[in-house]
Amino acid sequence: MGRGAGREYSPAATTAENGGGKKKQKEKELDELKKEVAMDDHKLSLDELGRKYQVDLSKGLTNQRAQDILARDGPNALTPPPTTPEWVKFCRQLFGGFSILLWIGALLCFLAYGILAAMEDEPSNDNLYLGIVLAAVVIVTGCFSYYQEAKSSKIMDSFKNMVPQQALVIREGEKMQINAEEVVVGDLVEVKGGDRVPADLRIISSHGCKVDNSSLTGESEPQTRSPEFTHENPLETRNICFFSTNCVEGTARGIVIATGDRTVMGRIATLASGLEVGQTPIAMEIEHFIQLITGVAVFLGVSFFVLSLILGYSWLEAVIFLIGIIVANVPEGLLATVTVCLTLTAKRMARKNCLVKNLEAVETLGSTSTICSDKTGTLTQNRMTVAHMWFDNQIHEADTTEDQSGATFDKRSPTWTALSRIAGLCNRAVFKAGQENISVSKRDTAGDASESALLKCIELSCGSVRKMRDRNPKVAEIPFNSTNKYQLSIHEREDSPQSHVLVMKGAPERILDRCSTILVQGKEIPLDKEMQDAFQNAYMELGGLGERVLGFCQLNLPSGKFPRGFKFDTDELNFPTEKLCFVGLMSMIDPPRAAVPDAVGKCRSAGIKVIMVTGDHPITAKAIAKGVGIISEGNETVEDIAARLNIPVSQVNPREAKACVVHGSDLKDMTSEQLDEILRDHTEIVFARTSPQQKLIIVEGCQRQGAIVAVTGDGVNDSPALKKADIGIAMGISGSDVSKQAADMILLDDNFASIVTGVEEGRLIFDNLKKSIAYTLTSNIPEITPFLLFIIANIPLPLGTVTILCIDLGTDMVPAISLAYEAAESDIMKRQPRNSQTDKLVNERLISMAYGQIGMIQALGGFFTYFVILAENGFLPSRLLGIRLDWDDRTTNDLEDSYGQEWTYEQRKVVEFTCHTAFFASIVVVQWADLIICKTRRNSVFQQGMKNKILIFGLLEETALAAFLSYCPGMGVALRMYPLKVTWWFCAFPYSLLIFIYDEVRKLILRRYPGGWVEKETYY
Amino acid sequence: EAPQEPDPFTYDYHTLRIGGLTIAGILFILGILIILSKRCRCKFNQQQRTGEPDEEEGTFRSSIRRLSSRRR
Repeated sequence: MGRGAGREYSPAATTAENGGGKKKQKEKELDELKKEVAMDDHKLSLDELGRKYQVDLSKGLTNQRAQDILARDGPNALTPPPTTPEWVKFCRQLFGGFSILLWIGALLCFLAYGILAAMEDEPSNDNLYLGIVLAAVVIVTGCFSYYQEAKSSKIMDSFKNMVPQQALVIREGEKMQINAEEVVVGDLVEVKGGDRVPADLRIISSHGCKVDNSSLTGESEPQTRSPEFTHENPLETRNICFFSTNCVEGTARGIVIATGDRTVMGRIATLASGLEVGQTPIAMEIEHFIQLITGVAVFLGVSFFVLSLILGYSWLEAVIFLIGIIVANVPEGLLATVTVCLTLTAKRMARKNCLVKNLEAVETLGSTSTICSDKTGTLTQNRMTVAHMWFDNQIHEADTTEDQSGATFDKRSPTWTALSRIAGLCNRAVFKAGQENISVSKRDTAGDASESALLKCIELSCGSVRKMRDRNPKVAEIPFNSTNKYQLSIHEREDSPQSHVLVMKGAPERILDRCSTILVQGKEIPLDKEMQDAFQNAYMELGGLGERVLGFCQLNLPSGKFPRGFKFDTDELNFPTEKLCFVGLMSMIDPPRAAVPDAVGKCRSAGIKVIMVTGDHPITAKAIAKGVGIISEGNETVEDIAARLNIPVSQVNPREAKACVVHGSDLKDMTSEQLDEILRDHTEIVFARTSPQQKLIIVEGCQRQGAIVAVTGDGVNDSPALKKADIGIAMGISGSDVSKQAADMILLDDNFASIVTGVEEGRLIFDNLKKSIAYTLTSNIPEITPFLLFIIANIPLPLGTVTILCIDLGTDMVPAISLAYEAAESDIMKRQPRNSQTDKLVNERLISMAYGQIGMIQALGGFFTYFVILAENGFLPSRLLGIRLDWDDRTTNDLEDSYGQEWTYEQRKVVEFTCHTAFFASIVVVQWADLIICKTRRNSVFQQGMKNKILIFGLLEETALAAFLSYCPGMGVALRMYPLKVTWWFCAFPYSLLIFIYDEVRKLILRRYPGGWVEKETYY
Repeated sequence: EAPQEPDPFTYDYHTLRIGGLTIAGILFILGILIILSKRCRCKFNQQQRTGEPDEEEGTFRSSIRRLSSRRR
């Protein structure tokens, strides 16, 4: 990426160039970013480089020129993703999804109030109050969810690493320490072990430099950096260091070829922040729900509008009715209920180490059908550990469990003693100080990853390595370099006061070449053909497991020729380095986390496909995939089948192989159809050597299959995929800032197994939300029908606005929320993930159950109470029909009841409001039964039990609240609610019982005849 | 005040109010007690196991062992 090309991606340049057509420009830019990194600096010679960047390769830039470039290119830092202003976030909470429904309701109320106010002198204030309450509910809930999200984003912010980075640059021939932000293109930069690389560098000289590229490419092993050009691909070649990777050891000097957003990392970060994200599944569900509810409301409203016109009401009256009916359909309490339920689940997940950034993401995990997981750091521990050894012609498993409880091998063999001595002595890694109390496997070390692995292994199995080194002091050493491919050291022997031992480790084939004998059971035997074959087999086998293998050999130097005090010269090699004695092999791997195989198994039984997407090599990836069960036992890839049948790969039918390992370079040449085919035909897929852009393509491929995709990852390379996924999951401890910003959820303990918990919680809350909604919607019918009958039958209004609000925002709230605490009915982790096309949160069946069946019984119960009270007061039902106009007429103070008693207006109103109160109490009574039947969708209550204490609390609390509202002195003035006679409470009891029995019978039939008519029509 | 009733049915609304409020109070306190009693067995039942065990390589080891033994 040259400077000219680089500037195209700079956001400043694009906005300046054209204001219009911005969107198209942005799209083009994204497509550009999705392409692979193009740069040629790694191919240039040093002279060409110097010319290209106009810099003296020994003295560096002049201060003046550095200033100029800084002014031109801007500081060397990633532009933070555009943050949404707080007020936009707040408005999103106020006007998003469900809130819209309530806002429309409120507006309609104000409209109706306006019409009434224009029409009458003394309009009733009901509509005004209702409008205000609706608006208040939206605002309060909005504030609540805004507060919740602000809280979790605060936790997010605390992750950000605020320490400013320093860089060592050479300008005008002088070394100077400057802020990393001030580094410019063309600067000469020096990095040493422990530094963060300040910008993209082309190495011009190095000394044993190794960098950790894991956050960019996913390779766990540190990579050697040197000035030579080794690979066409800039990501693979040795002479480029990347911005924000870490230098592990050695030193290197390089020339800065890109800074800030133009670096490889910067491009990825920009790509991630530029991606558009789709709606969350729960948002889509709520949209669908709103459509359904609105449909029902409009249908009811319009039909009664027409009906009231036919019945002879005036146009304006009919419009008021229309609005009244539509508003009455709005479930006022549901927004709050849904928000609280999601918050409760988010809290619960946070306790289990899943921090959710966005409330809606809580449920997304439950609908997930594919998980694309990064390997390094997510599935594995991201630290090399000795896994196997080969000595005495046998493969042994190392035991690195903390409590030494794992498999052990025969440590009595003298070969093992020799091998452990070599591994401990020919090793420059040391434990950092002050960690005596930490278990060995968790201690920090200074040194190369594989040497650290050896150090820990020996420390665990043979005790203190430091003491061993003290007893066998080192007299000479040749450190590892890439031409020798071995490391050698000479020590005084503790067991023989006069002589020395030469120990060597390195690439196994090189080590074997230098050996003439091999140690078996402590005896040196000649290295014959048979032993060499055995060595080859072992080497192949360990390599095939994706492990990095090292060979070890030694030579006891004769004390005659090399007495103590002999000057060993490592340049002249005045000692033998051939005809040594081969001791054994040790192999290392970055092992999977303990909980992962179990978690993968659980995902599989939950119908979730787990795909591994890694930047690491295919062999390693495949080995880990097999280890954790992503490729399950017995499943073969195409290559495996070919090898087994001894036929060429091309002859194998790819459909026969369930598993498949795809190499990034193959993926590059694939069309999206071919990728679709792979994703469809194989159940167990590993993508290896993938670039960040390819990860994105894979996620898009999965989404094309209709899957809800979760992506886990920790590196910068994962962040575009994290952002694109339906739910991106970043690692809290090891994850990079960029990945955390892009993710929707963060695993605080970096444990893949926590995802399973998250899936479980997500599925549970989806089920429980269904129940909660079913419960809340049911009481809509007994709330609407009074108004409808008031219009049609001209009876005194049986239920007023105030009492409706008392139900929706009072008595129904706690019970509805308590359903979020309901336990699962069956093992939710044994069923398939929800099909987002067919399995809706709210479907027609739920509406028909709530509105058409249970709601109707509830309405019957309410009306029964209403008629009983009026009849007790003297108005028999027959007298009530058509009485409305006289009843509501203020001037009529001599209205006669069925027995000829005369009623004044005020007296009538007291009876009417007593009826409202009684209707309200009846709804509470029938909602008891509704709550109990909503606990389960399939099982009987007797199977489910009443273990949900919050639910019992809800039952008691709603009853207490109803009694309080009815009996509290002063309610007659405040809310116009009156005390009820004891008998009136019991009018609705039979209906409550009816609801319970009706639904228990329905569920019984449902269980008896699975797939039958009842299930098809009523199972929601 | 209470609505006027036909004579035989005069009703003691004062006692009714006190009785009603007492019951409301009792139910409320009972509810609180139930929630506070042996806190949260109601809470999310089964799965408390997931999420804890840290890095122990047992399972991986054994799966590798299975692999290598099968190959041999």
